Amino acid sequence: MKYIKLIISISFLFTFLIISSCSDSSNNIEKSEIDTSTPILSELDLWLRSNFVAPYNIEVSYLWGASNTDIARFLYPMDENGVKRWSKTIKDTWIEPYNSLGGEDFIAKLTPRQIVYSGGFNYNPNSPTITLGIAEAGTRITFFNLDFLDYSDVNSIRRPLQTLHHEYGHILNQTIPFTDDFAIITPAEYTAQWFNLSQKEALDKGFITPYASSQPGEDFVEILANMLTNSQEDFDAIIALASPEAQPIIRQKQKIVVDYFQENFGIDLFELQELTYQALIDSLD
Amino acid sequence: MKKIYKYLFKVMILALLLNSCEVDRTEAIFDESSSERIDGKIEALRAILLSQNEGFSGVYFPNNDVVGGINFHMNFTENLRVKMTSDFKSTTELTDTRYNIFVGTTAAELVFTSGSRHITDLIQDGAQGFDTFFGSNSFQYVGDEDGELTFKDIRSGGVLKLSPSGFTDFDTESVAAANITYSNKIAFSEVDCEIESVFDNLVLEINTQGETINYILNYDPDLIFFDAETTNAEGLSSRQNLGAAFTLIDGQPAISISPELKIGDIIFKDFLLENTATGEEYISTVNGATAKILKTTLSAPTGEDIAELPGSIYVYRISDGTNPLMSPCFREQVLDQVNTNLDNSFGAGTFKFSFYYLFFDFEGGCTNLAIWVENADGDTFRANYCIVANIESNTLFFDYLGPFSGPNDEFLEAELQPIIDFFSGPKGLLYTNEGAFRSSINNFINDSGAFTSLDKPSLRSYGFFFP
Repeated sequence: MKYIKLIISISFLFTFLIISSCSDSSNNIEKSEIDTSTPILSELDLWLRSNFVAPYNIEVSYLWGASNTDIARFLYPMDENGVKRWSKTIKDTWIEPYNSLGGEDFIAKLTPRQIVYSGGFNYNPNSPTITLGIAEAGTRITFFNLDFLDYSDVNSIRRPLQTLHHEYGHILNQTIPFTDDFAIITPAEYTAQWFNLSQKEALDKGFITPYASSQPGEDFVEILANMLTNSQEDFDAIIALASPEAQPIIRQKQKIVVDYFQENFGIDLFELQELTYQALIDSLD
Repeated sequence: MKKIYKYLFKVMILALLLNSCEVDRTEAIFDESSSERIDGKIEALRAILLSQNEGFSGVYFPNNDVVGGINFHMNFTENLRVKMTSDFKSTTELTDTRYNIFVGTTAAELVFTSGSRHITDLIQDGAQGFDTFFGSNSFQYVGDEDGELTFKDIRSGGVLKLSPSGFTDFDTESVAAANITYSNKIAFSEVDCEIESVFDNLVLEINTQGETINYILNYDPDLIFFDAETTNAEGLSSRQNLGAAFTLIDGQPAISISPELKIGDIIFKDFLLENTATGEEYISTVNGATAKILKTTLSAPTGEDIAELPGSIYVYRISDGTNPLMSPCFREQVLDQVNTNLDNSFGAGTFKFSFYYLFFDFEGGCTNLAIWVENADGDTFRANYCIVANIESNTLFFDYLGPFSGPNDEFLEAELQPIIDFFSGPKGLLYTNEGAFRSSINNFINDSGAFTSLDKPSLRSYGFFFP
């Protein structure tokens, strides 16, 4: 018994030594050194949080520095006075129509995580073209020239919305690829020199726009973007401008796009077209 | 008993092992943690920016290789907003936008995070895109020297310097100051096209002890930029590019140049406006040496260069941008007049001048003055006019014989008449070789040249040759 007491006493002594040696370290667990305080939020920031971040997990990035985009290009953030209206426009013309037909979580499930607003034009070096928008790995869509929107001109608003539907089409395609049958409709007509084609020349080759002739993926989403930013009558009128030989080619491609939406997402694209086009008209002054 | 000692021994070994793993081998290289140091840099710059209730004034040279500087007035607030004005354009109203401070690779960065027009106009001017002033909205903080803050533009390497404004009411005095410097900038390049000549040159006269150097200054008002050329005693010429900023120093109108002009040990930087007996001069005085920017009449070139025309096809294109050798009066009275004529005939913006070619013929046949106009879609349309060349006493004369070929010639003749008149003036043209072609957008190895009207010597066109 005496020895047991001795052993216990010695054990307590060593345990104390162990604990005291641990407590000698300066690396105590304290509060985080990272600044986790809430940044200064403007009324606009709060509106964006409640209308994009909370319901759809989309960050609208309108405050940024030179290194947030391609630093070799002369880009700058959008005038903040236009941010709320443009955000509301894309919500009305893109998010709500898709959610209305695809289910209320459609956009939340299949969405870019970040939307970036750029005020000026994105000129492409050594090319007579500008980039209207970029979709990066299905995670981020960047809009350009937003400081030049004119809400009294339907074409001024249609153009960036075409960019949105175009880029979102890429994101959907990255999630579920479209059939290879699409690429073999006009395989020989795709060209890197697409910008040399006029609109009429593109139509006569079986493309809805000159850019559609750049590659099948762009061809697919250009049909989608033009459908969703025109009424059905206006879209039909565009196709009617193509030569008689080219019209069935474009219709064949359109059918694949329509079937893609129906089969993969259960969305009637013509119904979606009605909603997005009406929202576009409603967004104008 | 033995068992007890064994247990005891094991407990001691275990304790020693645990104790040994707790040896602290770290050394404190910094007194503060990394996040504290990051916060420190941010807070230090924030404190400086917020230290002036009436804000800062200064000049931003976005890229002094090709463009001049802009005056800025900025007032920062705690809620990360900044009121700002500049004299880049006539619209000097204050903007109220966002800024933030981050830490980049090594230093704190001041970022104008939302688009103030005063900043974004320098990054991309309007819808043209190609006329950028190479600006940025992100600036690395370099340091503070005698109250002057220096920031480096992280895109183009430009420099923004800010000092306490000295204003008593930022909102009104900043805009007033921007209006004054903008007006001074405009006044500097105003030319009376009816009486002045492209040979009424700006010059930079430098007098250091025992040495005089004269530069001829070609000034581009769109770029706020001097192309300075000097010729030494051996006849060798050299050029220097100088960005300019029209600013106020202690309330006095001044031109600040960047890069600074270094003559020996003397550095000229700021030129103060003085009214002298011969007119307005901007004068910099450093240690008894002076440098003056003034306007003076230089003797016109002899015109001998016409004998050494470096090519048979001459081109001027709007898309190449600007060069000081293209006189402002040529732009206003010839090119702008053509565009006005086109607007009046076909509706505003339907057509505009795009470029012209001269296909020379010195054998008595037609030199083809081919002029292209473009529509709103960028499609171009060509018209051709026959002008017959004749050289007398180093002067080039063109007789205009009328439309040359093609359906557009007669159709556009009246609208394009100012260009035809420029080349076919009765007193002829003075031609000068101007070395390799250079402009605000494109530099080519092609030889360039300039034609000056002797009927109206304020008109000079500049372009380049194909062999």
